[in-house]
Amino acid sequence: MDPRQFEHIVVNDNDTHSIVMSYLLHNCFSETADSLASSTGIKQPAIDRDNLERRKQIIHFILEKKALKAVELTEQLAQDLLEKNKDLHFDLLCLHFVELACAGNCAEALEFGQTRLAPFGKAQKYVEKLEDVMALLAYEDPEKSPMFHLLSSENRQQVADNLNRTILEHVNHPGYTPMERLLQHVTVVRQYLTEENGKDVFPPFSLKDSLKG
Amino acid sequence: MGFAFSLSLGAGFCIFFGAGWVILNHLRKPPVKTLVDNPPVKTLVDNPLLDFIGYKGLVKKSEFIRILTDALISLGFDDIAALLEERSGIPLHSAIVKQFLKLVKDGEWDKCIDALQGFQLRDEKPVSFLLLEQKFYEVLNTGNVTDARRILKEMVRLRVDTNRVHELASQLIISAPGEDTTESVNSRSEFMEKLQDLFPPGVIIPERRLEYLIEKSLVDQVYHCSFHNVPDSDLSICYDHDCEDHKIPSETVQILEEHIDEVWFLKFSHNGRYLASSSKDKSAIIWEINAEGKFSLKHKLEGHQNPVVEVLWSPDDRQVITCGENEVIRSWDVDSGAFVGSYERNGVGSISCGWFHDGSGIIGGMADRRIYLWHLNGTEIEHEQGQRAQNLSDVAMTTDGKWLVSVGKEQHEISFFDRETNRVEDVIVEEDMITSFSLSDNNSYLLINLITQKINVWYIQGEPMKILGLDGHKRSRFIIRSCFGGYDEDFIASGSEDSQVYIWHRTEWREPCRVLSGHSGAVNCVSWNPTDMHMLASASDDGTIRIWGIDKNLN
Repeated sequence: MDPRQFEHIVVNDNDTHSIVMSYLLHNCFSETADSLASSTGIKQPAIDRDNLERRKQIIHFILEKKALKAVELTEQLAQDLLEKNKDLHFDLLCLHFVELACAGNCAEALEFGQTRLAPFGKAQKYVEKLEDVMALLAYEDPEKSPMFHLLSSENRQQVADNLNRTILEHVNHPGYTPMERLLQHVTVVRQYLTEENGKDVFPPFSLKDSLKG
Repeated sequence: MGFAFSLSLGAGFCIFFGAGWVILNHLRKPPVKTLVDNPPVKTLVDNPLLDFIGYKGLVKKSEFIRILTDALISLGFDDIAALLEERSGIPLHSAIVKQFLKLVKDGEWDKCIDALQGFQLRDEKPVSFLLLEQKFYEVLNTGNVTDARRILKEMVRLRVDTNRVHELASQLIISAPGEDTTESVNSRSEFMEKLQDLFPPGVIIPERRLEYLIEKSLVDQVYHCSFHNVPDSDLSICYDHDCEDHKIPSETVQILEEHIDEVWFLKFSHNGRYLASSSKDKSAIIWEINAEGKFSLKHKLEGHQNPVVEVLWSPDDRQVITCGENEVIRSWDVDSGAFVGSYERNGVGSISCGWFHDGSGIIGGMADRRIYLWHLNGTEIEHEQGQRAQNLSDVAMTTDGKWLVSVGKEQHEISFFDRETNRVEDVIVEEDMITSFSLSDNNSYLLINLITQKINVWYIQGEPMKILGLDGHKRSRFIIRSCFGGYDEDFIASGSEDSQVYIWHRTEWREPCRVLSGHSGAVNCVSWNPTDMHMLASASDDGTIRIWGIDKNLN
């Protein structure tokens, strides 16, 4: 079988719809998911709507720079989740610290640091990030410091994604959507084909480019 | 001590006596009045910066005077120091430096930074950074986190070492107020060193520089002393030290003859005041040293039915254990010589024994090729019972209590059993069958005797590494033992089947530095007195024990 001849593979509509649906539900786009269900007539999988709504709230809080509220809601949702995922907990608390520091609320930031962040300092793996986070206090303009990435929306998005995944896994749902997995598979397989057969037979694969169509 | 004669290029020579420096400059042009010929009055003021002293002329006289001044101050003779500055016309430090150093001492960091302008340094920023760092620690210790933060902001603006600022930032929350962070505690001398380095050389004289230079010279002398074997208190700055090789035990000082058959083992007590020996004559003897350094029999320990292969001291030297050959292990009280108790396994004879590092238990290597552990009261302790190789010769526990060392599953292996994880964590694989081994007191080195007459020295801190292989002594039929000893355990001594005692030095290991003759039978075991680096004892098949000391004629 020649991997370059993929066009005759039949793709089932139901499969496509369920891939999109699972993506929407994973990322808490509940209205869009409802809309898709009514347009295509496919049934929504029996998903825990309550869990979805909570995750939606939590993610929003993080993106809206309200990390502490996100932590509160997470603890309500699953008491021991943050205890079992210390790295994630640390990242969330750091976000809150960054929010305080950027708002100019340095005294409160320091106190928060002393009470909530300092205990993490005992483990070597958190020390470097802790130093970076604390160092924000030493700069007049945190945005102009070498640690500006801590303030970025990409950083918040990453932490939010991480928390979303962790919550899903905590309630025994897959932490990765089929769509993500498929894209990962494609990338790996294409790379393998290029390595095994050479660039002339299989040009190097770029996901970005192939998505452009 | 020595009489060194050197000719310098150009014209002139100088003679160096061991006891002091005398510089004869008459043949040098232009004639310069010496310190010896004339009292140091105004002459030195004429060209203070151009004079050089030292038998090679490498030492700047002005620097020499300045470190002398500093030495006087550090000894508390401030007035004499001031007099020297005045008479020589050479101040220890210029006025600006003096003032700066006072500000540093008083911790007036802001004023220090202001004072930097007077130095016209190429770059003031690193110095300011260092000073601000000290200020940061001080402020942090008072608990004033807000002000500490402000200092960090100043430090960031200097753009000297942003990584360091980040490290310090975490101190804002980690250290509790009032609690001295370990960094700031030992930083005073480190800080002064860093500060001095940021100034041009010679601007600031390091405190106690003369002391440092002299002590460094002593350290170098010890380093270059080939067979160094004297206590540190023997060193003197009045003459150059060199043991040459006169400080190695070389002659028989005493012969102990109370055993009536081959003497197989001996060991000095930890405090060096006793010697314990064990023999084929089924007894062990405790010898005591008297004020003149001579040994006499204190107790004869009788009761074993078989030859006694080992006798070992408890860590506090109050008890000894003896191991009968394929028999039992017995413990004895040193003071009274009384038998205390025995450690045994039904139907299984003892091969070797050892003490727990804290004296709380006994280790026994038994004829069933397993190692057993007992509490001091005789109750057995649970222990992994894997079988060892045929010839389970020695067992030992490191003095920190972490490892149980013994011959491993194979005859050419040594296994390290970790008492915390309860497993064998490390194994040394030797090139041949192992007959005996010995640990150094500091747990860093292991001496292994092989069946091929080779003695290997391994470094066992961390990943075991072989560092030396010694040859020379003879062994073919019996177990011959070796030991570490002497200054810093730098020497290795071993018995030999050719009736001699061999001594090597760790750094000159290709040949033994001493071979001691005297015994008339194989020398089975040697022990170096841990508190007297000049005393070595040897046990022989000729039934005697010899005590060896340094050759008095060479001193």
